Amino acid sequence: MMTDGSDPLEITELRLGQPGADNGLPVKKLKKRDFADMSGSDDRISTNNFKSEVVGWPPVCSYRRKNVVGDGSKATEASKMYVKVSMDGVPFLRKIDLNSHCGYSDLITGFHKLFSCEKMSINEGDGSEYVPIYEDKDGDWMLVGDVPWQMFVESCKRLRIMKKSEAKGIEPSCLKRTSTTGSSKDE
Amino acid sequence: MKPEMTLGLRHAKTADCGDEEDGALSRERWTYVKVNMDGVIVGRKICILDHGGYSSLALQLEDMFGSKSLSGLRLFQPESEFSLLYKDLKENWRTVGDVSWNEFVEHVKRLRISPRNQAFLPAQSPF
Repeated sequence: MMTDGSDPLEITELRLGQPGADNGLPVKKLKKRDFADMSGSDDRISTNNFKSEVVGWPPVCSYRRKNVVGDGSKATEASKMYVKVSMDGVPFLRKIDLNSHCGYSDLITGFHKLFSCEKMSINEGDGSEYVPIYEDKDGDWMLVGDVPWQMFVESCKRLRIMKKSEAKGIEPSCLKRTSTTGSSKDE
Repeated sequence: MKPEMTLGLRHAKTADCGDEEDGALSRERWTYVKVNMDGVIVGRKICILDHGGYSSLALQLEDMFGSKSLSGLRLFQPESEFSLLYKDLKENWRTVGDVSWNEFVEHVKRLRISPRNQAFLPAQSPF
């Protein structure tokens, strides 16, 4: 309890200098609620400046984030949407934030970066070795690229970059002519 | 599923979204139906409103799944080895082509391509 008539909160103010000494460096004292003199100079320690310069502070509410993203669609989730991505033949999985991509080509570019693999495309006819598929919320595996991007983002639960040969290998023999070698799996 | 979303909604592909909670995206979702072919892991999605009739639909499905069979799908042709089925709003599997195109568009929820001799084994259908 302060008894000398000074500001009772003075003891809580931050200032440069030795602890307990009142003759620290000439730092402008800040009253707790005095914002008018704030100039952001580095030689001043103020709790409020500190807050504004720390990454992630102040916390941005989802409403504000949504407007910064600028999509405007009510159905858009502005928060991150991480889904697992696996690639056939690769022993590790990765995670990708679907909301950080703006469309399918951007997504494919993201795959190339994640797995350092260029042999993949969503265009089936271009001779690519892999094809991206996704598991939707019903648990069905679907080919990436058929629906509008935002619809895809909302229904995608996980991704798999599948070798095309894997897709061919599960046809029942009744769908193939008997004049072939009879092997139902392409190796 | 709201009753009002089943009738006439397919034709409102770009309808106003002011009153619907989910907006145009929800309506658009209804126009896309899944297509699966027996024995093929990966399904596809098609926009039913892209087509004006059954022949147009058959063409797109041929493009998507024709390579899975040596002789192609040749849907609706007498020599075809495949049947095209659809699941309607009442969860019944029916043969595509039995009703008018407009009626089909209003009721189709999902499509399935299956070998002709296995067409009517709904108990075994994973869909």
